[in-house]
Amino acid sequence: MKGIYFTDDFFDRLERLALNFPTTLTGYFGGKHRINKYGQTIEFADFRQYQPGDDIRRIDWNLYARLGKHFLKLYTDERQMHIRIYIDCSASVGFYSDKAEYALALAVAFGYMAVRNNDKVSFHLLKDGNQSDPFGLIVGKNSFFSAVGKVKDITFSGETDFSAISKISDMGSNDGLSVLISDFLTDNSWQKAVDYFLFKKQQVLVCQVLGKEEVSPSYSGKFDLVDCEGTGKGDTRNVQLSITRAMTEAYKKELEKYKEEIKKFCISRDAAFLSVGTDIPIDKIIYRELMNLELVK
Amino acid sequence: MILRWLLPIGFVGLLAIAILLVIYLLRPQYREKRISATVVWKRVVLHTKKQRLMLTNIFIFLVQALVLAIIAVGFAEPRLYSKKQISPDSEYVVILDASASMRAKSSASGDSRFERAVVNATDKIKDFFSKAESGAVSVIIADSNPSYLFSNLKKDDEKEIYSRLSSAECSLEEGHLDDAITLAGKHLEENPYAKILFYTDTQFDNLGTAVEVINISDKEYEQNIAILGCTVGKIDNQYAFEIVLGAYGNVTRRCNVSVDITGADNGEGKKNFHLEVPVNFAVNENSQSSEQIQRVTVMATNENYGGQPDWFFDVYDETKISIPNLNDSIPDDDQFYVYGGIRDTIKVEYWSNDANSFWQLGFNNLAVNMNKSRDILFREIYQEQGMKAENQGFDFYIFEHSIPSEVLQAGLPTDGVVLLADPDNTLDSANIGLSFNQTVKIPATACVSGEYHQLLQYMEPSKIHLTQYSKITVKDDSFKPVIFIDGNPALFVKDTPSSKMIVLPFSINMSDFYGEQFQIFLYNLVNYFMPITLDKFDFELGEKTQFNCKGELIEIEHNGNTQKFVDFPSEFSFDDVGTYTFTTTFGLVKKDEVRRAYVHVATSESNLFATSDFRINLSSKELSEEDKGEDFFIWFAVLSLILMVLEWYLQFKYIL
Repeated sequence: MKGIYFTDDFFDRLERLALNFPTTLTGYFGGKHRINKYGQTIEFADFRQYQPGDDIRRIDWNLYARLGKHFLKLYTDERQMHIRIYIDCSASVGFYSDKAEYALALAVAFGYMAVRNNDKVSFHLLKDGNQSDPFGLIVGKNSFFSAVGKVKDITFSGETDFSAISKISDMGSNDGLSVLISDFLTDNSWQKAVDYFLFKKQQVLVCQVLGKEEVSPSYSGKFDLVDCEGTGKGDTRNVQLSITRAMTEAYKKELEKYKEEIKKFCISRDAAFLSVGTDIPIDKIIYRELMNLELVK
Repeated sequence: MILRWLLPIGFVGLLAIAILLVIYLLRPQYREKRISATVVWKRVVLHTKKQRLMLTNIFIFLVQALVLAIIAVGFAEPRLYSKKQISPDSEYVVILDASASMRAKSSASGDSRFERAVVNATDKIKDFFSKAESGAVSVIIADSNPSYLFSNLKKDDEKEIYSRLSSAECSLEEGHLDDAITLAGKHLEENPYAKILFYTDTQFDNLGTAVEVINISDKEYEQNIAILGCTVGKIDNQYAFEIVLGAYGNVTRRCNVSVDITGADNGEGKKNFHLEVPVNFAVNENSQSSEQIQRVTVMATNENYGGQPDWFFDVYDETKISIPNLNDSIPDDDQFYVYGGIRDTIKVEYWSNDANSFWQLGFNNLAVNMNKSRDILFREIYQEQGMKAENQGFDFYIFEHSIPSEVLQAGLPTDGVVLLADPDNTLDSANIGLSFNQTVKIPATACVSGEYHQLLQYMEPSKIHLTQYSKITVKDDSFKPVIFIDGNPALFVKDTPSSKMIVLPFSINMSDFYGEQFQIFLYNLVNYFMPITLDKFDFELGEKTQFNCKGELIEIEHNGNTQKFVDFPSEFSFDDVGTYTFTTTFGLVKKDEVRRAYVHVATSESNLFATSDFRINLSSKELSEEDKGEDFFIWFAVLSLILMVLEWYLQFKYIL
């Protein structure tokens, strides 16, 4: 992994961006993201009638003087969010090195935008039904860059399996954004993973990364197509085809259809979906697509 | 030779198998490729398969429906009809018999059968056009090579029809009526309502309902006496002419047959003879048949007919046989010429300084075998009687052991074939490109064949064993060795336009050559160098004959027209009545040999009231099965079979 994206320039450009979370999230600790609840900031939000047990220091005495009733002055609350980035580390993602780099760059970009705003970040690597969290919980730029240095060591092999997500113990609830990065070129049920995120009241971004050859195959002729995640020649995922120009066109149509299916599912679950090809510059994805999705501001 | 496919479908089937084999051999070879997007490709395949499956189902249904429809239609016996078949009485086909017998004239009206047929046919065609305005008429002239006078002409062409009919001519040849009827039958294949009118003088039993035979002969006023042929033989060393005469029709009369022999030569002078032979014919209504054949033998020595009993002749120029003042229906067969009084004679000269009887016996045997076609004159030179060898005037010169000094002095003969048997050193003096080397004695050894030569036809050199032969040095390449003994030539042949020579460098006495192989050799020798020009001297009109040539050129002359032939044997067709002269030019001495042949009207045409046993049934097509048109049942069966196979294949794919 060369890590061509992880340059100072790359991170400098990300300095200007911040992740945009819905206010329905709550989080646990104080941070920079305003939420729907009242808190201890200095920004006024509303009044409410005093109830027994309330802190009397928050009573607005000026209002009492005018109305003769006790009202509390309420202030907005800002919390720290937890960005969980799930990276599909199967062989198909790593099949094209540029695709793997692209996927990791996206993950790192999300992570950097999070730590820059004092949010927590964790990277979860999914492979062969297991997940690993090699960098732990990252807070602050120092620990983030330390983790980025190790990103190059991530290897891609085995089959895609999203079932490991449900086994993660520290999933939290209603506390941030879950980003699922994969090529989704699998029969494995990724929908369950999305549903699980939603169950945990997470904001969800489903990000599909596809290589150039996967978007537009350049090969033609008669092929025994062997799946890179499979066991070899006898694998049921293999397919024997005579690839003509018409077949290539059918492939492109079918891929678009597949993307639409994913998108439809995501919309039905109020999750964001982003499909990117490695031929699109990553800046364009971050500045345009993520902004369009209102995930970045 | 024409190649026809009796079962073209079988051939197509075989081709289909071959195509399947090619497809099997060229079946796609798949390359292995690892990719990450097999999921998408599988979705593509699934989607395509779904679409294809739907199409296949529709197609299977269509094929099944089509098979049922084809079987149903097939059992309804579909047939192809042409437009002509729709309108009855739309076509007339007239056959005019144009054989020589149709030239017979009626003594009452003075017109010939053919003329009457033309008039009658014209009337019929006029009548036909008055009834069927859109009809078509074809007329076939049935001569030796039946062809259309015109074909499918309509009312608009009436003028042309009558003009062509009036200009039609009757031939002198034998008519091939069967071919003419077959030609007319083709009209029936296209138009079952076609009516065939057949004008002829021959009695046909039954040609079918589609053919109306109109016998144009007039038995009451037609009669014919004909000279059918003449064979020449010798009785008591005198020529005898056996004349075959035929009388047809109502003939009860006496007539004289004239025999005019021109140029009868007894070796001392030439003379002409005129002989008259009376003949009685009695063919009338009471006779069992309407024909009478008589044979009359005439000899020039018969004084009853005007001959001279004491004047014998060897050859004659020509003999004309005729029946004067006959006035019968066909005058063309009232005369006949006989040529060939000069029989081919092969002259052989034999000289030997140690004579044996092998050659004379061999040629005598050959003369017996060739008796019918030619004579052989064998002249042996007896030196003790003071005879000298000649070097001209013979066809074959055989010099055995030595070449006679008088011949060496005058030069070897150039007007015939020279055969040198067992030559000695006198060979060198002959200056012919051969020189004597030495005589070699060997134990009995069989000869072997060299380059094939026609002289060796039917011969087996391995059956010839020699105990002695002479080694000959060859300086002239035109001497070709054709038999070898111990690697040395045992028979040379030289065959050039200016010189024809055979050299046998061994003694017959010192071999077992005399016998079967010797006789075959002599037969080949005569037939190769002196082939007979014609094997007979009278031919029927239209007859073809093969002829050969002793020399290099034959000119055939008839009525002032000459044709030249240089490749032999060749074929010649006699297409006119009269005398044909064959003049052979010999390259050896530039002398000519003349042979004449007489061509006459076919004897069968003299029979005015012949009947035919020709069997063909051209029945009215509307009654026949064929009238239903071309049957397509087999094609429907084949088509339904193909569709059934296709349906099976589609089902098979579907199950898979």
